[in-house]
Amino acid sequence: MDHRFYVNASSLLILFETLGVPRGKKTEQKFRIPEWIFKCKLWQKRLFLAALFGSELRSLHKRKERKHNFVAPTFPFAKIKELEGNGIDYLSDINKLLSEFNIKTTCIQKHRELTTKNGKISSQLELVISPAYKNLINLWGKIGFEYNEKRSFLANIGLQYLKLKKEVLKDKEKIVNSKIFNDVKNGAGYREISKEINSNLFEN
Amino acid sequence: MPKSFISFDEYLEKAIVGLGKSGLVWEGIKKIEEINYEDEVYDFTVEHKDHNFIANSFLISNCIGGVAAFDVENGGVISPGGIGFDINCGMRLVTTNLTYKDVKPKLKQLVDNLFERVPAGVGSSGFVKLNKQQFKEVIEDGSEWCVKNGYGWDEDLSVTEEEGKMKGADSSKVSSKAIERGLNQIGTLGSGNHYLEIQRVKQENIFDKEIAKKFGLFDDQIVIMFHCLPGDSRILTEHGCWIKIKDLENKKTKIKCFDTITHELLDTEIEEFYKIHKKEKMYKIKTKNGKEITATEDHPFLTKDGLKIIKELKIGEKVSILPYEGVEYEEPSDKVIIKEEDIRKIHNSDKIVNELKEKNLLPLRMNSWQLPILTKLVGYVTGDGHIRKSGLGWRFSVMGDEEDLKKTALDINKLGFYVSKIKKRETKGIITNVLNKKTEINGISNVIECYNSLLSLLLIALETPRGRKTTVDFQVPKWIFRTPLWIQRLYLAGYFGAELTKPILTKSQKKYEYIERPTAAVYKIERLETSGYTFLQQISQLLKKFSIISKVVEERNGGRITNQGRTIKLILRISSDLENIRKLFLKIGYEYCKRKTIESSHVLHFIESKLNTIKEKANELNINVRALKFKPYQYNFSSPIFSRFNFFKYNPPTPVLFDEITDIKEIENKEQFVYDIRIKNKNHNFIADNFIVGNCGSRGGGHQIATDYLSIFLKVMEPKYGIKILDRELACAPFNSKEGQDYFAAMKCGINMSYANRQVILHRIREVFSKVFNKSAEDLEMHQIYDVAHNTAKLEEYKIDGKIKKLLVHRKGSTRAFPPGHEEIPKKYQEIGQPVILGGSMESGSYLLVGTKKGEETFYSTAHGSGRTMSRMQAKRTWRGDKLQKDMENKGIYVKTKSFSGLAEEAGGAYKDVDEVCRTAEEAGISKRVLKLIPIGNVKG
Repeated sequence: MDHRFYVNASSLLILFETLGVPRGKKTEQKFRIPEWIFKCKLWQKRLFLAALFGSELRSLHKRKERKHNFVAPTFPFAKIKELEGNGIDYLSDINKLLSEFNIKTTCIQKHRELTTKNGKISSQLELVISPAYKNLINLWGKIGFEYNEKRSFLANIGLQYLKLKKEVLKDKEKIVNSKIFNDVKNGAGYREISKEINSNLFEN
Repeated sequence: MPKSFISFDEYLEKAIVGLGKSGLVWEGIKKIEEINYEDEVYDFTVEHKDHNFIANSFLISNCIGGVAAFDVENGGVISPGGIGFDINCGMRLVTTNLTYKDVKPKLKQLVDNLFERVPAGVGSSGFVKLNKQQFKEVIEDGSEWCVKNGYGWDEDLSVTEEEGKMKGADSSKVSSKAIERGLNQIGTLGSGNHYLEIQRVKQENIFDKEIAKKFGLFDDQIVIMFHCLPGDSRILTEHGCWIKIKDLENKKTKIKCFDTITHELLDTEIEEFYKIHKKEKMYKIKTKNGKEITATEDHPFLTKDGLKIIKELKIGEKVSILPYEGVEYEEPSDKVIIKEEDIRKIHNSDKIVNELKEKNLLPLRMNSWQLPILTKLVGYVTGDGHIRKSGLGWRFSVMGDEEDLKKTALDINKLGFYVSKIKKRETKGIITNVLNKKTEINGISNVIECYNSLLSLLLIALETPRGRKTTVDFQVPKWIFRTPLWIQRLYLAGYFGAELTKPILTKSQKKYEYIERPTAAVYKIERLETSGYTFLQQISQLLKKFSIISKVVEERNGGRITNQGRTIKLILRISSDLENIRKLFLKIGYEYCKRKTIESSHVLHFIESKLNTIKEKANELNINVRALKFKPYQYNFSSPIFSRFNFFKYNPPTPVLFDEITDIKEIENKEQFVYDIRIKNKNHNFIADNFIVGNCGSRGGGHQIATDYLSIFLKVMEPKYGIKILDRELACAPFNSKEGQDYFAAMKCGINMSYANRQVILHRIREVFSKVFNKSAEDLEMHQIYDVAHNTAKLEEYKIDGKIKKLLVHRKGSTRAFPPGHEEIPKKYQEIGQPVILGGSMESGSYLLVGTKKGEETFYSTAHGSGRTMSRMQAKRTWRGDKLQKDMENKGIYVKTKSFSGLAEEAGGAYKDVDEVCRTAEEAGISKRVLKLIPIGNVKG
């Protein structure tokens, strides 16, 4: 079920439009991220992105086959075929903003084209954010979600989970650095070394 | 990653237990280390009651009890909020030479005796009866006065903080109101976490044997520690009906309170409910208009000069009253009014049914919380509203004054729906009456619209007329007749808010002024005459239940010619008999129409006054009231006229008025309990028996001093001293200013009063022990260990940046803890440091600690108690007082209390673990544990 509310104040609508919010069907018109956003402070940029992500960025999902990893978060964006270039520009704008937060994206994907109700062909674009755990810590820790309690909640828990994972990996690295050299020297096999590291990890 | 690493699903399950969907998670502490830090540190208090905020991803609590020191020579301030309102709070520890074996057989007798001899509970009055002059001496001399007057031993003074007397206390700086409130409180325990406890020393609980020995404490020893409207009153609630105060316990009902600034009547939640054992002294107040109320002597009333307690009220003084009374609340049954099928009959849609279910509006029952609001709406929409079909859905609009529409919109919001903003519509047109006379109408009306089909459908299901009301057949909804009287009132008041005329005063040809009968008109096309007639008859029937007389007539030539044909005008006339109109405004009144509500309230006040005058005159002449209208009396009695009626009202006008007190009588209380409530609104008043009364305050005198000076500081702080604050509770003034010095002198009086209070209680305890054990208190070696005040401000010297500075140390909910060798502690304790008594809860016991050198970092202050983990209200919901008493008895703690709910508030589980608190205090280095005391008997205030 879909919930919505209406705002009848024209003044607010005009203010929004002046600020660069597109009016009408978003798939059928050209628009970019408003220029003033780029001139804002980082915390203000975060507000914009967090609210945008609250509505559009996919929520956190764990990977099926690897239970400690998360699926790459994607930002879907649809445009009619003629305006595909504008769509790509828009996603690049987001990419530019994200890079200021040290968040890396991997690519802009194109999916199968669809035909809309009124017969227009729309391209399905998607900005893919790198699922590397350090990148996700940046994404959920610095930006997160606004106006979306469910995603915000999951991102918070996911963030803490990744921090925990980071700690474990850090410990592992320490053990590797201190022990592995000697072990290799003593002629231990790959399996033995791996076993030892894991047992050491959870002793701590 | 290692395979054994926790999966996300598992993590999600474990990490958020008890934290809900807040996004917070639990995280184990890995390491705590001490670091060198030389920069400044910061903290702040937040306004929210949970007192926490997020710093570096940690959820941390802001300081509540605490210490703040100001350099008085450099503009430092003094703040009542920084000291705490309960200046009377403090602790005293006394030893005996008895052991557990001696006390155990006589424990019950001992506790019962103490309970009887030391008065406790909210507003209890003490056994030391003083006149005002004596009281002033007490608050200037503290414990010294008590010892001089035989309430204690000389040695007690040396082991009391400041020797039981803060020098420089000046009773002339204490308001007469504070003195009144404190007068009878010497020798009382008070309520809340004020208690008197018999405790036991155990070998395994002694942490420092040497110091314990110096205090004269030994294994198994017994010590004593202490810490210091009748039920039928009708309380006006949010839906305009009243509930007896005794029935308010455990009810979620909101009650009405009066905003003293905007003069609005607001709805507010009840924060706490008090049920207190009988008090002997009750007062009955009568006003000129015959309103009556009974209350205890210390209950405050709203007068022209703010809140005043009964004792200060004089005959002739004006008190605020709300003439409107309403009808009694009755618990509705859980019968279903609207079922799923009812909605489907009007509009068969799964979506709508599901959404209504989601909003808990289906099925709608008699006891649904939404029903009162819906009833008001049904009533109002039947008058000044319009439901119509628009496109695929339904919508409805409501007309009225701007301010009233805002209130209507708020009510609709409460139901979970949104409305448009207020639109102004120009209404232009020509009305032709049946005699072909044309009248032009021109004006602007305000409208709000609700586009949500759900609410419109619900109103239709509730039998609200839709479409043009002149052309459709509608009646009073059938379900209304089955509801309790107070819901029927809501329907009528809603309809009257829209349709009934306001009270009009007319002068007849004889220049005799009278109040016109209120009327409500219905226009119907000719063929629907019976329908209109039945509708008004039904309204008339409803009115009959309130014993209001009315009749329905057709106005001749009152109809109009419209494009639907000729209409007729039917009128509901409410009898213009004064008693009848009085009942109408007293019991029903208007809803959603502020203008009419205010006017009706003023007229009601006048009618009551007039009826009283007539009655008095008739009594004087010894004739029947009716005879006054006729010869020969009609000439020597002129009936009161509204335009010449002098009454005091608020500006801007509100339904609340002033009435004069004509009689204050002391009466005997025959009930077992008296009651009080505390509300969540900052105005702290509510409406009982038509009077605006203040809700209960905490411990009289000391609290009043802080309240008095808080308002003085608020007035001068910004204009005179340029101090800006975020929270009005933190109002302050420079220490060296006149206001600051006055408060300092008054605060000292409050502290001295608390020393004196604990001194006389000690005296009583010694009496009780010597009676029970048949030995003198001296033989029982009942020596005091120490006495400390909890909420204070004191001038002390500290080395700051290498210089000795005079600081004003505010301690709110914390205890002074001077180290060994400090000059201000008794000689006896020079080697070991100042004793600190730290209270836990009634169940967990308490600690004796001593001050340390490292305490300098906190200006020699440490915790005063273990601190709550949950609010009093939550504690009351979690525990039951009587069960708790039994549980504690099984654990070997015998408790006597004045109120079970008060006992539940203080349950052990509602407090932090005292062991942990004391261990932390010791680890922080601000005090050192000597021993733990285990409770065996308790008298709870």
